[in-house]
Amino acid sequence: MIATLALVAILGAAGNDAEILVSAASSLRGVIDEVVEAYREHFPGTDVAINTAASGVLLRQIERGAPVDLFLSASREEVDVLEAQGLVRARKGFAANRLVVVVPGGRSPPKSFEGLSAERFERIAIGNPGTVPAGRYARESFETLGLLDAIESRLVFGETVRHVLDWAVRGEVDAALVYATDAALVADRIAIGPIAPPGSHTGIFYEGAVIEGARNPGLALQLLEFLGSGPGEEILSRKGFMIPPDTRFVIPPQ
Amino acid sequence: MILSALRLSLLVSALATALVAVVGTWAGWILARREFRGRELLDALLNLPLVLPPTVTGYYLIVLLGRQGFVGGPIYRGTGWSVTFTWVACVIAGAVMAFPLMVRSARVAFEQLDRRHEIAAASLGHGRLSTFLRVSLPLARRGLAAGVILAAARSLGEFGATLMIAGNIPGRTQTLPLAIYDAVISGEDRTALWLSVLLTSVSVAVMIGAGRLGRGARKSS
Repeated sequence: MIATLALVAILGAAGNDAEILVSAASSLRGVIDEVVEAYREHFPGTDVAINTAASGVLLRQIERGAPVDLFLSASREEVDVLEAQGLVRARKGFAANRLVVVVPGGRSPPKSFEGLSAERFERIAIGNPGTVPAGRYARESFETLGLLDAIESRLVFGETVRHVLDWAVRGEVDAALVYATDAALVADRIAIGPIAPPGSHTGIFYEGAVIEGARNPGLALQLLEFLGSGPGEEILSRKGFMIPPDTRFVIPPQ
Repeated sequence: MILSALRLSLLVSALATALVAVVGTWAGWILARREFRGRELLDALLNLPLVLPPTVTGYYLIVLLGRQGFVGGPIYRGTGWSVTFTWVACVIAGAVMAFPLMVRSARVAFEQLDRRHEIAAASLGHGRLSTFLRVSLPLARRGLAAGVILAAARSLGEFGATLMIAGNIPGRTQTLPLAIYDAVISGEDRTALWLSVLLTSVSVAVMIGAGRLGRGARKSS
């Protein structure tokens, strides 16, 4: 904690304008707005702009020089890619999630993930695995469980996990794979099925990264720290996110 | 992936343009020649896809044609088939977006016709349909050809509404513009560049080909 504060003090000296741009994974939409509101109550005078898209899309934007201060990714992988390019000043885990099967309201979800191979699931929506971490986790899970061959031709890809969720709500697909936190948002309009078996996919850990070249790295770090503090964790937990065991800051060697 | 996207794009553009050419010519004729209440309102409604964000048009298409849509719902319940996420949805999206361009061109072309030719044809015993097919249509062909060119180019480049109603499924509903989007957001710059050059070349070829068609029509009229 003291080390963090010292870091905040050192990095904070760099920025002047009290404005930061946060690029947040789509599954954080709504939650992050609440966290930012609470943050601004604690630390008035900071303007926070929020840009949401699939984590993979946000990654490409940052790689190409988008003026982002803080990146909140739904997967460690995106942050690893940025770190390999020397674009991460500091990173930290702040939340974990689970992947669930949902079906349109009034229909019965499969008993297990394997149940998705039943013929009544003609269309199964997942996030575009190229850019949407939730889609990548889903595909990984199908592969591990030996389901991919049976259902690959029935998969349709959404541009964000919320896009996939919307298809399930509208009944455009027979099943969709989303995060438990997304499903909870529309629990009255869908039926929630089984959780992806543990170990069938990489752990779903959200990470925040202060971006190299950020205009306000100090404020970005402060917001990231706030996300993992009492009020931030309270909001995340209330929305159904889990708190991962390891939430320490990591400073990549420059 | 590139080849299938190109093939799908050409097929979608050809079908959408054919559809739009027929229906758009008819709608343009009605707007140019018939006096009726609400004509300007109808004109405004038909032109909406031109000014609305494509995502809004796409949203309306989902609400209309989706599995629970006003039109798509009964079809799905009756046949178990739904247009969403199929290549037919790409054609519909392309046609809807290109439609206003065809209607506008057709309306202007018919309005500028010298009506004396039509009156003369009618006085020589031609019926309405015969006058339309043998006099009005040939005389308006230059304007109509321009409409077809624009419609073809527009449907070839259609992105937003297609993404909403047809999804982005490689090999099935992924047209060239969607493949380019996919390549860009996946960081595959080389593929994005190649696909963009390909789409640009195809567009230029379409415009030149259609332009020749238009000039040919002008000379012979």
